[in-house]
Amino acid sequence: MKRENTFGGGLLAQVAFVALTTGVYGAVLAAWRSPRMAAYVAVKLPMVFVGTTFMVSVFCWMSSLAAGAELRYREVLGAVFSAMSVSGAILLALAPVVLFFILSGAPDVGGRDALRFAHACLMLVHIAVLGGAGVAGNIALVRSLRQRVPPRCRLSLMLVLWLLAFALVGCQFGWMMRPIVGSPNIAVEFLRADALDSNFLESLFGQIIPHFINKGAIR
Amino acid sequence: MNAINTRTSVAELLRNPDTCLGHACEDARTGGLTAFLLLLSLAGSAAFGFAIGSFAGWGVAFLDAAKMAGIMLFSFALCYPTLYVFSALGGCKLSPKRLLALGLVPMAVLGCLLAALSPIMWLFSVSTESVGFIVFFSCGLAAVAVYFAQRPLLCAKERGLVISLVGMRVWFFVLIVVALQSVTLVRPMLSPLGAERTPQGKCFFLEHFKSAILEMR
Repeated sequence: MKRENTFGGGLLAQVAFVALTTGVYGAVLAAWRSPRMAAYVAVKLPMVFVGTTFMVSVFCWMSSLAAGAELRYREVLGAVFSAMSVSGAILLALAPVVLFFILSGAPDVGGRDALRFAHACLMLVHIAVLGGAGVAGNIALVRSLRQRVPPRCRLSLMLVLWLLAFALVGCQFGWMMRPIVGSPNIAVEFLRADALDSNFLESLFGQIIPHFINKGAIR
Repeated sequence: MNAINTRTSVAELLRNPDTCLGHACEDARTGGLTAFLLLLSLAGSAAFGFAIGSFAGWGVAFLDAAKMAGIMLFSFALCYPTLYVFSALGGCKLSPKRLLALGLVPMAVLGCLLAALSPIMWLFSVSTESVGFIVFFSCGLAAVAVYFAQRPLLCAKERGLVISLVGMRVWFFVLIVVALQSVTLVRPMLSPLGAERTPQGKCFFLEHFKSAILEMR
């Protein structure tokens, strides 16, 4: 019971906190596009974060056992959601700042190029904020796991597997949930009609990487 | 106020911000100290704003003084939640009230240095007609003040207030970026009153500062 209290305790509260913070940041994320888009993303971003965690949680638990971590399923969830709570707190803390930049700096009217430039700038800001929050969360995860797992546990291997699983599922979930930021030239909708037609790996290797190769010096 | 004047004079704040941090975090009552630090911060930034605005005449100088003080106040208020969360992540256990005083220490140092640099800024403001030069020069002076203003935060770790300074440093960076964006929001700051050259529309501060500096001939 003591172990559960220190690691898996208050799980529901942690899940609710992550959902709330990512929901708030999601609303800020898409506030530039339109209020309706902000409402959509306030729902979709928590779905991506919480949904991804639950989808990979069984794999994370099994890989932790294989790596010798001796963690219970609930403890794995507790560790992950604790780390995500750290990220969520950072997102919540930065949400007013990002909203201020959106309201004061990003033009919502203008030519196609001006809007695309503003969209690109906002993307960079969001990537920096989400990336920074993610890094802080992972540092918290490593610290907490280091204190918890036995010395013989192959912690690095376990964390690499967890990160790969999260990255793979998170990217695909986010891809299905498009639009997230809301491109200025595409209509506002909850999900795109082609949400289930392809996956992000097909797009990455079939379109994005060939696009850069064809535009670059490799051509 | 007597206690504050003797214990937390401007000289002591600049010479030994560590002591001021100690007062903010350990004294039973921090209300007077908070007000003192806030006043220093606002007065210093208003003086610097006045010096910048002197470029376009007395009216603009007074207007810019108010704008600069408002920018400092707004930026700190907007970033205070960030300070609370980031310092907590860095291991800080101070109450929101004490953290307010702690956060105002670098702001007060910034205000003092901006006030000290104001005469230099004023001299150059009244002796040029180049907007680009004034923007470039004021950014340079402000950068000097910012460099010294972030130093008190380093004392927070030495005093054991935080375990890691990363969060505090990120907060200070965010604060400066927000202040720069706020300057862009309240533009124009260098156009004479009633002039037609009133920039319109939203823009990011980098774009605004770039276009202002490009006006340098």
